Amino acid sequence: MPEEFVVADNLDLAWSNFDPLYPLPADCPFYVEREDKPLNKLKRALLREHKQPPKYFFSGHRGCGKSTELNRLAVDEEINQKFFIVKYSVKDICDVNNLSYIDVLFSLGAQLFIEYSDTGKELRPELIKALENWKNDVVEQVREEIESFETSIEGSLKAFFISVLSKFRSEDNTTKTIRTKIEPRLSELIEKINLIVADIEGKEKKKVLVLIDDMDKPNLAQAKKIFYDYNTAITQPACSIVFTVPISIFFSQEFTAIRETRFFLPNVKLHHRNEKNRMDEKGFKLMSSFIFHRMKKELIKPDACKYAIKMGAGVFRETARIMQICADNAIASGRTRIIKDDVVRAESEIRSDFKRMLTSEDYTILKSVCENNEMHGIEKIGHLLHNLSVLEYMNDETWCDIHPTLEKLINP
Amino acid sequence: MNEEKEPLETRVARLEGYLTRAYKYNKPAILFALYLSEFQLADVEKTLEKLLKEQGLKIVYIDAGKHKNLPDHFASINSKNIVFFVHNVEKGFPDSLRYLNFKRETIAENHIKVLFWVTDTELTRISREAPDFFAFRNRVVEFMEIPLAEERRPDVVEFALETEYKSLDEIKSSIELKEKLLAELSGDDEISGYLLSSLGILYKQIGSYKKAIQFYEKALAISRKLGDRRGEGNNLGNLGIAYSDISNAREAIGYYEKALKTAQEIGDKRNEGAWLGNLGKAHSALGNTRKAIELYEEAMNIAQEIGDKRNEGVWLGNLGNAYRALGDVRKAIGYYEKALKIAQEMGSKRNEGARLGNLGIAYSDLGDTRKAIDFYKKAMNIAQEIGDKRNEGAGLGSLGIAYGDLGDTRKAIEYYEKALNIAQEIGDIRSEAAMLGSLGKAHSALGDTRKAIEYYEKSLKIAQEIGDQKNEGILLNNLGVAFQKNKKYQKALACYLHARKICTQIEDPNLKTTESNIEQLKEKLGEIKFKELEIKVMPEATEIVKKMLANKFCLKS
Repeated sequence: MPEEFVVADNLDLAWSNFDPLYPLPADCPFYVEREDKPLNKLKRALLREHKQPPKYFFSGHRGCGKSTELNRLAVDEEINQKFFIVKYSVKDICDVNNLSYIDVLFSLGAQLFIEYSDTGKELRPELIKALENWKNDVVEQVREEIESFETSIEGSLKAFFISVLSKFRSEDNTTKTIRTKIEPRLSELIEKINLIVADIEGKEKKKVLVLIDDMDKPNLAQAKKIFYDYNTAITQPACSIVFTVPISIFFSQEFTAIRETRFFLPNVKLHHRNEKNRMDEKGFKLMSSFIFHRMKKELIKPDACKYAIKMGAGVFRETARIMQICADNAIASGRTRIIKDDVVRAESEIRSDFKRMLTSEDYTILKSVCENNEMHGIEKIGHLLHNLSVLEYMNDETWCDIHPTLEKLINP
Repeated sequence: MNEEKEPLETRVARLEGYLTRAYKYNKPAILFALYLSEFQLADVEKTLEKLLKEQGLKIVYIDAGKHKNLPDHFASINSKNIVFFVHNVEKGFPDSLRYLNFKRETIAENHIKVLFWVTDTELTRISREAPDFFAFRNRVVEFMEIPLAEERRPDVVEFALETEYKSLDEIKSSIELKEKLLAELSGDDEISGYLLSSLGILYKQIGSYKKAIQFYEKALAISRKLGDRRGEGNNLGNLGIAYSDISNAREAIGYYEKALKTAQEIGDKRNEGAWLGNLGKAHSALGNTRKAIELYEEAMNIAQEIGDKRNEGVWLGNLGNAYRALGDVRKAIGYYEKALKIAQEMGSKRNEGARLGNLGIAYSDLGDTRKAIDFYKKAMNIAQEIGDKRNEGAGLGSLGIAYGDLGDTRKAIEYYEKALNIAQEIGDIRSEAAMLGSLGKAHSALGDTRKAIEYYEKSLKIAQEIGDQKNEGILLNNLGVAFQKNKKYQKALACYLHARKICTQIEDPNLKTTESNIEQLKEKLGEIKFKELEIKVMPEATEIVKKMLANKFCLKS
């Protein structure tokens, strides 16, 4: 369905524009640019000359705009001049509930092949031949175990890739068999990926860049396996790659990626560390432009807007959620403009949701976070960062604070 | 947080508005309707369904118990005008939680509109165990008012009487809800009575004994007002148990006797047995072991008479305890073994664990510490297996004592600390105090009197807080010993004197120990010096102890 992006002039449309579950496509007029352009660092790093194609790891808090920023990177002009870009989300082509590093590598090769074929161009005939042979070999191996396999992965190379990916995506029993057949031939798979990369780079006179989104979606145990245990394997392909990484892995000791290859998208700071009443002007400005890109100014009273921004905690998705609830409250009260009372009611609703999630020990931790804005060891507050009851901010150093709706609960 | 309550219609309209708008703009909607009673759920649901149908929407009912993979199930039948109403959410746990959490994107991508009808417990589990999914919610709308019409009564009564909760958090949130309900239903004596006594039980579970007693007393007054004899008996008995918990056996006996009389008058055999047995426990606490044995036997006879195997086992176990107290450990073991057999026959894991623990203690009395440890470990395994934190803690504590007996004080301390953690985790304040006391003793044995004093003081504070005078006396006595070792004679004597006062008041047999400690101090200091000290300390012993507890660094003064 084509999405229209019209700045809302009524609350009903505003409600729709603040859909919190919708990451913006690249050229969306709702996009607001952060002043520090956090993705520029990643962009510059990609544009530098490298001896080996670099691998970058990208992370950020839930709802802070990761997918939106990655969508923009993929259409950036300079990046497109230098790179042939393949961008995909693992959740679209694999089963993120059951993801292994083999799926990641296979999907990478498959996407490269499919997307290049989709441009209407062809790889070298010798390479196609080699890929055919490799494919037939895999098919034969799998067929030995599962007879029904033969009908579903016969056909062209592209059909083969698509069919295997669809098996990865569904919870098919063949997934396991395919993995066990591919695993011992992993070096072959990587070699094939590298041949495809080299062929594309030769033909296009561009480097290959793969952007893999939603690698932060698998469950933690699987993500750990992929990023800790198989770090070497997934960084083998001879193209530049940007992976999204779950935040708890990103900050853990075991994560071996060096500093220069990590990029973090912080939440928007709304007040200064340990000074809750000293507003961060830039942060407020950014968040109000976020709101007014989606609806007209006259739809909300200024004090209500300021309060809504505060309660959104500098997290884009949270701000969208609170604005959507506010629009809903105002409409229900028969008003055409959001007032502070609507925000206060949304605040108390969100607070009730938190109350349900938090255990007694959590309160102790939240109290101390609220008092000194300090990070206390990821093992203690990891789950609180995850459920957004604690939010992390950065300037020269990292600090954190509790979700603003919780203040009345912690310091009644 | 008592925010202003909106009328029911407004909240139903909110759900309608959200879903209709989601339909109009083809947006996903993940909504939760939180309800307290099934009756109200039915009302709200009917109204909402009618409103949505008028808007051209179609309701599809989903039983979460039948479809674990909800996101894929929604996707397979979704169309633009469908709204899913999901029921029986708990029946799909825990599998459904996993699917919701991992496949939340499926719901968003397919623009699915879904309303989950949930209880507070269900929503709490979703928010904690499927946090990623919960982060995708649009709104939670609460329908938590209490239905008052007569036909809705059974539900409220059931809720009012419910006291089985697993975790401390569950208990606390239940207390919160029930107190709210109590405030709203103050005009309804019958339900208020149920609520008051179940609040008493819940407060007792988290160690707020004084509060428990207050609630039972109020509940007792109501049952008397209503002429509800059975309720009166139960509240009297519960008061007895609460006083037993704070070691006030005299007061407990009074209540048990009244409860017993009530049970006999209304011919309630089961409770007659229960109060007889509890009366036995209280007498045993006062050192009247013979009397206790008589009462346990009567209780056991009743249990046999009415075929109540469970309680037969319980009183057999208590008979074992009594004979152990008399020094007849062999006989005690005989009773424990019988009780163990009953527990095993009935498949009652909890009682099986408790009896194994008793056997451990008995063998420890016989000096067979190794065998005792075996029993404790078995008991602890059972407790862990069934998630019985209380008995797991008890097992750890016993293991601590056993290793202490073997001279391995460091290992004992490890076990005490683990038991302490569990007690704190489940809010079992009595066990917390006991473990703090044991840790004090252990550190004292290691010669670290400073640490010992610290632990004793913490334990003493709890005993004072919950009004447990018996243990207050014991701990003061132990503190005295520790101070004496540290050559803080003035403080030592103050502790002894205060302990003596308490023991005399409550006729505690530990009085003898304290008196002999005072004698020892006298010998150590010599008659004259002791007299001087006594004259100085005697009038202000209580004050000194009070100050000492208020001052954290008591060794420095």
